[in-house]
Amino acid sequence: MKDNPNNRRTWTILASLAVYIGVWKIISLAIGRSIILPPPGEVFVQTIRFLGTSDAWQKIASTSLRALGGFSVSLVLGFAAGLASGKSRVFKWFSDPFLISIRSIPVLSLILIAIIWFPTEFVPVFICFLIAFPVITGAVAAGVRQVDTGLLEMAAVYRKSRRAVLIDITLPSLMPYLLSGISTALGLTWKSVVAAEVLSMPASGLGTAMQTAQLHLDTANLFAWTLVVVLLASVSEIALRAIEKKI
Amino acid sequence: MIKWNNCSYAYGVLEVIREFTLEAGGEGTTVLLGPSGCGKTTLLHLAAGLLDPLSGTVQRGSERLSYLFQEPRLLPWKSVRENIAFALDESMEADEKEQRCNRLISWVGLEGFEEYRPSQLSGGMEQRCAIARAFAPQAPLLLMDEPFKGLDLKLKMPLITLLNSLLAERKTAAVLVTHDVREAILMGDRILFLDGPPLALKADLEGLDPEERDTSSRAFYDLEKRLYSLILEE
Repeated sequence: MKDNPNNRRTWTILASLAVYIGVWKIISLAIGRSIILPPPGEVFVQTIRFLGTSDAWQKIASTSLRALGGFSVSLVLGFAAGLASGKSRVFKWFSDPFLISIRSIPVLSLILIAIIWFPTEFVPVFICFLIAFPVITGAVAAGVRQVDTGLLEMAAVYRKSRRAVLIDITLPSLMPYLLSGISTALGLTWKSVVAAEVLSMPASGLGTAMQTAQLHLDTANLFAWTLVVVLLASVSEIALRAIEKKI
Repeated sequence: MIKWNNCSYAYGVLEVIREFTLEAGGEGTTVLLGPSGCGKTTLLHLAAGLLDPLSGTVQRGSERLSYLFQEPRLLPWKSVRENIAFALDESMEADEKEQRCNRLISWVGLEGFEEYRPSQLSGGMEQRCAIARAFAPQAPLLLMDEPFKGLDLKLKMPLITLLNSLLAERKTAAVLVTHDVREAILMGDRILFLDGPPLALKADLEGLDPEERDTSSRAFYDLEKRLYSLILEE
């Protein structure tokens, strides 16, 4: 049992978490003011208390729906754009300026502009799309460009249709690239949606709750909402890994 | 049958084939024997339509042909059976596909490995799977580009015997590209000795005796000697 690598991994992760929480507790004790750094126990209790209320779940649902909406649109459009960009150099040259500029514009500028353009409910969805779309496109395009030309030649010899080449060769070989793109985009999704909610303050949302907690100097609440977002991001990452394993 | 008419091809400034004319793959197995880099693989790629000649034309007796590559080129995410079925006509009924695949699997001796992925097979088994795939579409002509490269003698000999018997049974014409004199003798009914670049035909040995394929025979030894002397003359 001692030598089982899975056990060792679990114990190491638990030990690392214990160290982080311990350091957090010590610093919080040293500061002695919950408004600056609340102790971990208080944050955990607050988080559990939140998760027992329907109001918190409504906020979680609102933010999750926005994340899901923005992410799904970026996945579908990013996949199509990535395929086109990987197959056609002209499309790549045409789309590169847009994708590169989106990547280099500060997210806060994008959010502030989006607040001027769109209703507050929609701002996080739009921002999430802008952030995740280039990531998916880039990953899919890289996947398409590395498809084994030997397999494509083989398919050409056997006169396979474009559809068969896409389904049997292109898609399976770009899958690892797509999954890694999805994983990166998923992490960015939660960050961008919450950042956009903090600034645009839609009626319901985790970002709105964080902003409100900050305005009331309720640091423990701010930490608790942050922890909820971290938990959501972890759940989505675990779900993605499960899908990855199945594939 | 494949006919290259006045074909030229170059990779950048390197002119590999210059106004080259040749007819091959009529009946039996034609071997294109020549040193590495002489342009014989390019000639095969032109025949398969994987490359277009810069000038000249390529005439094919039939548009349907099969190809055995240097590497097995199997789809890593598909099983042995699915890889073989990949070369079949997409419109074929599922039942017929299944039967055809089963037959091919037993011909190449891969029974019991139908559901294995290429990564679970040995090098020789992968090439057997590629051979089964090459015979799946029942094309009248099989092009082979050094299909035994990287395989040791113990793996190579059974594959040569297998290919010879499949080609004979199914009356399939073949063009084999190789730099290996023994492979050329063991498979060729006609051996074209090539040199280059640019590609040039140095000798055309037609109507070879099947007895010459017996490695223990005097005829094999004599032909081998003759081919080596052709190579060393260059």
